[in-house]
Amino acid sequence: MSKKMIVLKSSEGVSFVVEEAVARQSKIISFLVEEFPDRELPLTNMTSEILRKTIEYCKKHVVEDDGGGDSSSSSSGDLKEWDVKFVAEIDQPRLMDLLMAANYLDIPSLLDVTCQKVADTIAACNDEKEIRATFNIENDFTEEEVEAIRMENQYPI
Amino acid sequence: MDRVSSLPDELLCHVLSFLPTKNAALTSVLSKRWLNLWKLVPNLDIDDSVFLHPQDGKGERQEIRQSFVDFVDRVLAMQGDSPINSFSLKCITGVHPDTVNRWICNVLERGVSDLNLFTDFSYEDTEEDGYRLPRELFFSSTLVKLKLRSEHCVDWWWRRWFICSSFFSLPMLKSFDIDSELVLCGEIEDFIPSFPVLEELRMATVEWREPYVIVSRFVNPKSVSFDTPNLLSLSYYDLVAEDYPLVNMKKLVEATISLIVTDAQIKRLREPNNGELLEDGDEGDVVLHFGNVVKLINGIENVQTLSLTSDTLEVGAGDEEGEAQTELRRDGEDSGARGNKDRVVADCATDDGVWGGEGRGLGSMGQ
Repeated sequence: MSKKMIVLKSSEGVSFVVEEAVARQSKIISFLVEEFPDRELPLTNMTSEILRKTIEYCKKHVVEDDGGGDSSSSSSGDLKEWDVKFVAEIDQPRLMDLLMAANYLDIPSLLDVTCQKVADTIAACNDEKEIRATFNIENDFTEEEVEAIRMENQYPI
Repeated sequence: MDRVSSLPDELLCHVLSFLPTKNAALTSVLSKRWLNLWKLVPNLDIDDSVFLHPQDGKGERQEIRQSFVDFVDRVLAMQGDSPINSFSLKCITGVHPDTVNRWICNVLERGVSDLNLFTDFSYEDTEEDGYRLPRELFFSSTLVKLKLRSEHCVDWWWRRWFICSSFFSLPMLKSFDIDSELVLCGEIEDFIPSFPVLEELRMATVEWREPYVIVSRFVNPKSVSFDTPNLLSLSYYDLVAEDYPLVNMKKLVEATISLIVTDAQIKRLREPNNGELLEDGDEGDVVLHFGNVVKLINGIENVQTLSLTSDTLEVGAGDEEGEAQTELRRDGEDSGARGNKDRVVADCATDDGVWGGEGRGLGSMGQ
C-alpha cells in the first residue's frame, strides 16, 4: 500500500508534498487533515525555509507504523544527538522562527528542543550583560533599578 | 523589541522552565519585559550546593545558608498557590529539616507532579530519629514522578508508627526512584501494592525489615515477591533471597537484576560436591534455596532487555545447574531470533567474570 501524501503550502506559495504520517506530528495538521482531506493546507505565516526545516525535523522523528516490527528508524539516544546537532546549526533568528512554528503547528517535541536551545544559550552567559548582548535585549532599567531587583531576586552566592 | 523578548509570555516561561531557578531569576534584571516572567515558571530547580564553599568560615556559611532559605521562601511566596509541575530540590548544606518539609508541603499543596529531592541534614538537626519526610508526601493525589535521594538514609517507613497497614496512598505515581545508603520501606508486600499505577521502580540499596528476623545488610532476605503486573522497567539490586514465590510482571520489558552473594557463599556454590553441604543445616539450606532465583527469571519471561551481573548468573546456575542454565541460555537465543531490539546484556561485576557480552557466552557461567 502506498503511503498517503499531503500538500503543505508556505507563505511564498511553495508546495511541499509530505507523507501524512510525517505531517501528523503537528497536532494542528493532524486536525486539519481530518477536517479537510485531500486539500492543500496553506501555512501563510511560515516561510519555505522554516517549513522545510520543520518537515526535516518531523521526518526524522516520525514513528513508522508499517507493522514490520522495527517501529522507529533511530534509537532515542541517536535522536537526542540528532536534535542537538539540528538546533546547533540554526542561527538565532531562524531558531526563533522555528520555535514559533513549533508553537503554531503544535509540535511539542520540537517546541521543547528549540526552547531548550534558547535556555542553554542563556545559561551559557556569565551575567545579564552577556545575555542582553547575545539576544540584543535593550536594557530599559536604570542602574538603581537593576541593583534593587538584584537585591530582591538574586540567588545567594 | 528584540526577537526573544517579543515571544509571548507562555513561550518565554517555557524557555525559562528549562533553566535552574538560579539562572531563571537572573533574567529579571534583563529588562522590564523580563522582570516578572521567571516568577510564573511552573518548574523550580533549586540547588544549595552551588554556594557550598567548604573553605568559608562557619559564620559566613550560616549567613549564606540563611540567605538561601530566604530566597526559596521568597520564590514560593511570590508564586502563591499557582499550580506547579515540578520541584527539584538539592539541599545538602544543613538547612533545617522543618524548613525543607515546609517547602515540600508547599509544592504538594499546589499539586506538584514531579518531585525530585536530594536532601541531607546535619545530625544535630535530625537527632537520633533521622529525617522524616512530611506526612503529606504519603498522600499526594497528584504525584506522578518521585525521586528521593540521600547520602545516609531514606526512611519511607516511619509512618508505620501511626497506622499499621496501607499507611500511604499515591494513586497517580508512575515512577518511583529511591537511592540512598540505607532505604527503609517496610515489607515489600505492603510497599508495592500501594502504587496502583506504578510503571517504573528503581530502588538502590534497600534494607528490608522483617518483624521476625533481624535483617542487616549482610543477611539474605527470606522471600521476595513481585506482584506488579503493570511494571515496565525494573532495576533490582539486593542480596539474593531464598525464595521468589510470586513474580507477576507480565508487562516488564526492561530489567536490570543484580543479586549479591557473599564471598563465602560463592565459594560454597563452586564446591564440586556442594550437595554434601546440605547435610550441614542452615548454611546448606541457603545454597539450596538460591535455586529459586530461577523463579524470578522465569517470571520475567517477556522482558526484552535484560542486564544481569555475574553474581546473578552464578546464583541462577549454581544449584539446579542444568535447569537454570537452560533458562538463561534460552533467553539469549530468543533474543537473537527476535531482532535487534531484544538483547541480553551480561555485565561482569566481579573480576572473575570471563564470560559475558551480548546474549552470548552465558553457558560458561559458574566456572
